[in-house]
Amino acid sequence: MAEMEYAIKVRNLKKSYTKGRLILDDVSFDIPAGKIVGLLGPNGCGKTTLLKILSGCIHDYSGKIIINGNVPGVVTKATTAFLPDTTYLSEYFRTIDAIDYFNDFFYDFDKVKALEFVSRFNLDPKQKIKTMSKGMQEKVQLLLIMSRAARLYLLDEPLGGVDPAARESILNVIMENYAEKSTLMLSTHMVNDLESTFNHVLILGHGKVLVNTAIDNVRSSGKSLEQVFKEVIGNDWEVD
Amino acid sequence: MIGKLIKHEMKAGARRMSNIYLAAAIACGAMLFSAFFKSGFMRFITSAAVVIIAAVAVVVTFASVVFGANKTLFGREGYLTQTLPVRTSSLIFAKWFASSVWVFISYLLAAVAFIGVFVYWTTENQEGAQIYDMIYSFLQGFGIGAEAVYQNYLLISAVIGVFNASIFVMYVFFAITLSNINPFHKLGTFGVIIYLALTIFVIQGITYALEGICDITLLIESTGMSMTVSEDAVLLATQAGGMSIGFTGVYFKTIVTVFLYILTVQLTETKINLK
Repeated sequence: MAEMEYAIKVRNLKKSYTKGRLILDDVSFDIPAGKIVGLLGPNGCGKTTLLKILSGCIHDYSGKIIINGNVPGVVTKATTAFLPDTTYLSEYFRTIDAIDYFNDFFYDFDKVKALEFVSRFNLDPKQKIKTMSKGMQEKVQLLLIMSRAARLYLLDEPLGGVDPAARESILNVIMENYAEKSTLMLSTHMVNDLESTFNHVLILGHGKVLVNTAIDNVRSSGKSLEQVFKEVIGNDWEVD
Repeated sequence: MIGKLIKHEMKAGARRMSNIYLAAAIACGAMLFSAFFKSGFMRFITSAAVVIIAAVAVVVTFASVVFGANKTLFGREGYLTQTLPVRTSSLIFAKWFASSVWVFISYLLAAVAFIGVFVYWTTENQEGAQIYDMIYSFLQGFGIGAEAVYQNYLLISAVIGVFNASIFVMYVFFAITLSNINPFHKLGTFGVIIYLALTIFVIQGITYALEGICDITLLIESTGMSMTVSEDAVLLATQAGGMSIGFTGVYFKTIVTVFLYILTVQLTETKINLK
């Protein structure tokens, strides 16, 4: 298969925060382009670290990474949309400031679409981030990311800590608005709820890739994704 | 892209600095307004407020540079700045440039406030004129007669002051970057102070050593300015009714600043882990 048909190619990726403990231990995998990838694994298995490395937020690692044919840098950042699991906007920003900021720097950002999201989410474009609730801040961050026509979306726990109704709404926004033919990697603990959404799955555990396959292969085994997850993770699932 | 980065950095700086500048403007207004009253107490209070707020503005600017850089590069906001499709060199240059501009503005504000208060207190009475005469006689006592000499001296000193402030900003950026990489991050925020102090100590030590080896001096005389390399430059300047400014440190610190900028960019590109 040609290089450009893979959204992500990772070879021998190693990452540790403290000496002697590898959070990612010689990890290698490929993710075909155009897939909706579920990034699964117990807490501390390296999901967030992997997403941070792919998005360019962590530079201190060894190994080789290719994103849509390029090593991580200015080119990949221009085509990768990353939603971290934390509030990253300046507290002085108003929603409209954040939209203008993204519009200035990302050529694939659609300002009209972003403003439509503002109305849809009932947000005040002139309200400052610091006066918003956590849920409102998450909506602003989500609308910024989903207003981009990126080639790769990296979403870190976008459904964590929200009620079921909001979860469904957020998932709809993601699925309705990610750019066609792009790749979407979404980390989550909600294995059961999202099984039907994914068409590819990457399970990390003990610093290794435990499963990297199309969801059809999981289904053809006659097991649910949750069953496969519990099997490969073993006891770690219980402490999760 | 660098223009856009600088634009947003300036806007962020304006948001952080607006309150203190507003306070300074109100204090200045109150000081001028107090001239309509004959109350010495009112004049004293408002003048003191101007001086204190102007001094606080400089401190707040430096604090804003330190905390702002740490937060926007290596804190939560780093998830935005580090994922922008821009070179790290552009990102750090824009932050350094904007920070230097805000430091310059605060210095200027402080200078204008101090001079303004001085003029305000000396123009309205006889003692004021006497103070000006005393300063002039003091300078003449050193053989510095020509007005152009100390005008040029003040101008060049001010430029060097701004230069020193901007290189200090780069020292701060380097110390912050160092305090965010393994294994230097173990000292936390305290590490910034330690690494900054060490950086200043080392650079200043080398500067003194270099001045002993090669003392490059700018001579400011009534006939013009010239650069010289001489151990007796200060004496020569005084004998000629001029003044002198050491330039060895300026040249050395320029080179060091470029080096620290490259090192900061390199460390950010290869060693940073956003928390």
